[in-house]
Amino acid sequence: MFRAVLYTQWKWTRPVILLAVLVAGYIPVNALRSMSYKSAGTYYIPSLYQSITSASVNYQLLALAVAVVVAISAWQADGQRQHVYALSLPVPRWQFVLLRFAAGAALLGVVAVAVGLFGGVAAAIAPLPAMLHAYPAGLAVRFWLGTLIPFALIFALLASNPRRVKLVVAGVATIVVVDMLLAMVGTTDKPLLVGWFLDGLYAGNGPLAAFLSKWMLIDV
Amino acid sequence: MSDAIALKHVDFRPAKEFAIRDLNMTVPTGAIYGFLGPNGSGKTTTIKLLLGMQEADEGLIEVLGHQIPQGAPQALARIGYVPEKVHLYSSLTVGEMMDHHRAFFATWNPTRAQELRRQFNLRSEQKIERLSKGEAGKLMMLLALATQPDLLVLDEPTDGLDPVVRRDVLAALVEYVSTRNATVLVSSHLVHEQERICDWVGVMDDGALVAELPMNTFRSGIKRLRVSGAPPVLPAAPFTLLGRTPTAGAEEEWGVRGWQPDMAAWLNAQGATLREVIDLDLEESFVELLSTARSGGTA
Repeated sequence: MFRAVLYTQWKWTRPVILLAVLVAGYIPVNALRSMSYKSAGTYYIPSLYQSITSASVNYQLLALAVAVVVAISAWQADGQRQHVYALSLPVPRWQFVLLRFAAGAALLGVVAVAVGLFGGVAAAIAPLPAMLHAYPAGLAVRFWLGTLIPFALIFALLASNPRRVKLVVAGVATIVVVDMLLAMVGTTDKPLLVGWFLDGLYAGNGPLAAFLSKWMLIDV
Repeated sequence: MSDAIALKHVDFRPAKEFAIRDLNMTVPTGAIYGFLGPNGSGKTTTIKLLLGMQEADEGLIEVLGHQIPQGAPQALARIGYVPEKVHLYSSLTVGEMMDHHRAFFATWNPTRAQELRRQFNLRSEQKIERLSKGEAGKLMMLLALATQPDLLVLDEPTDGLDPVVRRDVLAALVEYVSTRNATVLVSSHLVHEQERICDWVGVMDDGALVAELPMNTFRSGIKRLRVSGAPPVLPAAPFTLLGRTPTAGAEEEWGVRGWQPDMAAWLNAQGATLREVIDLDLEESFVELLSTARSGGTA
């Protein structure tokens, strides 16, 4: 069953996955190419740091983009037909949802593996200063976990029935508008609830906190 | 004989303007049950309820011995379902769709699937999004039959198909049923098509089942009588009076169910005269039933 579900999702997302694999290869190559050498044949440290930091942002953007597309693709075909085919299959709904999620996670894993492989190759070719080390495997794991968070959020929303999705979206939109209006007429300098919500997502152990930290291929 | 499908006192309101009300329905095992009703009468909603795709507000639903929706996965493993609209993944090819379906059904018969594919003139590499309506209908029937189901649920399976494709689909259905003691629930508003293949019939209108009876009874049991001189109020009749419509002079037309020739004596006893007994074909019987149900009469 998993193989069948994986195949359908692969078919729906393969152009995006293949493009993401290419970009995963391009990011470290571009980062290392744009660094400048010192005379001893190693990289100039400030230039190296700048390149690796910008590559970190590119990895995060890639993770976010590929996660969103894979999540939307996972339910698009079912959604167009009101999930009739999926509901007529002899598996409990939770199991089918799990199969779709696992298939999406596996496809995101392909991109994560590409991130690790290309990062590893690029770091092996580059003459790094002695104090710096490459962490391609760590970056790949971080990339994969980083993709799973937005993937899971959008996946869960789209897996619900359309009426529930509309309710959630309308509810969130109402809260945001009311919050912004209160901030405009009140004493606070920023919307309270939105600020609190974003803090919850990004700060400390928030689910999206990983996107604020740096995804470094090369570090001390 | 046990029942393949049993719905008891089922209530369901999917929208403000439509509801299934106190639905009682029984499909005997081995029957080919024609589920008749005009568009929007609740046939598809009832089918979705019995497949566990929607959950009833009240009542009991049992399919192949499994309570729905709790036992829906177990029941669905033994059901071949052809929905009203094409529900397949359009970006897949015919062969890929067959492989996908096969992965979920342990009873899938690959030999039979290939036979049906050839019989229906479908090619494995054809993309589903490029299939004609008829070809898509045949593919859905193929998927349903290749799982060798104990129960086939077909929702308007031939609606919009040309006569040749319709013949192919019905031939495959009849062939399958004749080789296995499968139960078939076939929903349609094409009355004549049902007459050819069904041995039971249920008539749905405005969310309620207005009649459920063997096809023979349905076919022969409803008559139109031309009667004159009947009093406005009648005592209990030995047949079911579906409706009375005044015509010219003192004559009336009566729609009746359960009519027997010797019942003319009862009419004479009421001071009425039987002028003519008109046999109705299935479509006329169906219309008579519906108009009676809509006017609040006894169907």
